Amino acid sequence: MLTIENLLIQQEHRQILNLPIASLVSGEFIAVLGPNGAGKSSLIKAICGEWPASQGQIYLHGNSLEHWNRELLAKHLGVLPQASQLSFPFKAQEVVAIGSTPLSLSLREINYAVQKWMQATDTWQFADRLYTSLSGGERQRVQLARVLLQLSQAERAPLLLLDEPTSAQDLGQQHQLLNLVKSLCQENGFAVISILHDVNQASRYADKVWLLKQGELVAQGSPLQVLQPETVMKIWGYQPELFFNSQGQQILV
Amino acid sequence: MSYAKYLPARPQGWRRGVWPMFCLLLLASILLSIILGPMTLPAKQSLLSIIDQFLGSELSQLNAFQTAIIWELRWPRTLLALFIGALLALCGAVTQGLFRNPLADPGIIGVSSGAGLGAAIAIVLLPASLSYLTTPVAAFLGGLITTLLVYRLAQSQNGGTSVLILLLAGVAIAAFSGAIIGFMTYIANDMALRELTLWGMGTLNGANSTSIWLSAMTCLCLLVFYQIQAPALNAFLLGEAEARHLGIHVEKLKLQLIVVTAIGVGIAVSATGIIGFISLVVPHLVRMTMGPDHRLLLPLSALTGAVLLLMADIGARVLLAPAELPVGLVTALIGAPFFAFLLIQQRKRLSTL
Repeated sequence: MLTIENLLIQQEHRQILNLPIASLVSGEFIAVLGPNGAGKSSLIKAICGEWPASQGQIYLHGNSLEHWNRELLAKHLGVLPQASQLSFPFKAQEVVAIGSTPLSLSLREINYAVQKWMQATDTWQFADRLYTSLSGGERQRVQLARVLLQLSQAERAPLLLLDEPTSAQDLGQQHQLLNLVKSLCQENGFAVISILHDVNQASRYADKVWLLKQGELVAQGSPLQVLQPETVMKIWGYQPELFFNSQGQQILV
Repeated sequence: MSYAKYLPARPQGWRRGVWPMFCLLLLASILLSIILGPMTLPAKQSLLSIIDQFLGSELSQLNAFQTAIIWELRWPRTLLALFIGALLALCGAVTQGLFRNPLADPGIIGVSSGAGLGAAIAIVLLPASLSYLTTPVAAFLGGLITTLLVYRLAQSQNGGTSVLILLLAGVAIAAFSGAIIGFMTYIANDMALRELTLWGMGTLNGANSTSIWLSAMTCLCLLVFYQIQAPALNAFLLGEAEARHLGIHVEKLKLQLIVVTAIGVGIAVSATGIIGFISLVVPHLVRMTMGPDHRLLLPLSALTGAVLLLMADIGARVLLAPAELPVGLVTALIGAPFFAFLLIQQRKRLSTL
């Protein structure tokens, strides 16, 4: 559903990202990993069109992103930013309802969808609190509910881009959130590209891993193929120890 | 942990009662504005006179002199106050949304000064016979150029706007236009000087059918236009990138809002001079009670702005009667402490910028 060809992003003649070819199909969960400054966020920004690419093409469902109609694209491409700068005192549920901007829903349908997605992201209990009074992790989940509402009228499989969705969450919430995203992939055909930091989380939830270093895609494939101790050593300069859990899955510590 | 966490978001159960309440308030202040002034008129008879005017009946027992006071002096002034108040509040609410910053008020960031500069140049340098046309246009151009300038200046790297730059830009622009307006005063002839001085104080004295119609039409158009853009403005508050992802044509929206708001401020300034703080105070009050949703914020701000400016004008007429204060002075008396209050409230957040 998403194909990236010859993507090149430069800023002030410095190469930020160079991606000859990459693609994903609907239902696939891609974890993007790499050290700081590897170009992970740039990749997200390039796909969602925030940063203009110096060259290259990105196709969503066979159509170049530039040729997509803005409103239609909004129904099929959702972005969860790392942090949001909202400083006006909206209630949490009002923030989520803004996700319905590109949709054609009645007020009742919106209210229903808001409740549904806020329950799914474990935010419904503070629906009436002010967004500005929430903690970083709570805000991020409210934003996720907003993005999921935005994608709820997609006519074809939607693409969800997550920029470090787990960075502000506690351990329980991290897994709950990734489980939710995973189930959206499996049941609703979502395609997900998510920046993650924890290699074990990537192994557990992602179907594929894209490993970035200095703006280059150095490895891609299943987590088991890519995330080996020697690769981790090469990319991050840290030698992990390999363990196996009771189900025989590998764990890097 | 802040205690704000445990407070309810905002008073519940207001929403249903808010429209009738505001309309009642509006009607009450219109009636007050008709009967109060250096010469107090009987309330009941004045009301009847208004009814007479619209229904063609003859119920009122006011004498000709009193009727003239109502229809020659107070009624036009009341209408102008309503439309200009609504216009200012609307433009304030939208400017704050556009800059994603509750302190971005057309008066404070210098847009009003820019519009004032344009108007002053038109009053002094352009022929007086065309002033009904040239003054609003020049004010609009002044406001537009300033808004574009300030917006460019305040744009920060991460896509937000910097409060510090906004406020400093306001100071710079106010100083600059102050100097030019001073120069205009110096070279103005007697006629223009008189007009310039009266206008410069921010007064509703100059209400005439041209200024009333112009502000009424602008107010109506802006209300409709802004209301259509209200959902997009809500999305805009999340951030420019987020709004773009929600399918909004951000660049187009910004340009439209800047131009339309400059028209609004320009018309208001050319009709009454610079009346400060309405555009700052009103959207704040509405946001505090009803929340920041633009679909509700914009029409309610218009209503509140109309009522507040009318009240301020009544104050301006009554406080020192039979002498009369410029209404800009009254709004500044209310607004400046309010602005200081906002600064104190946001001191923590602002001092880190």
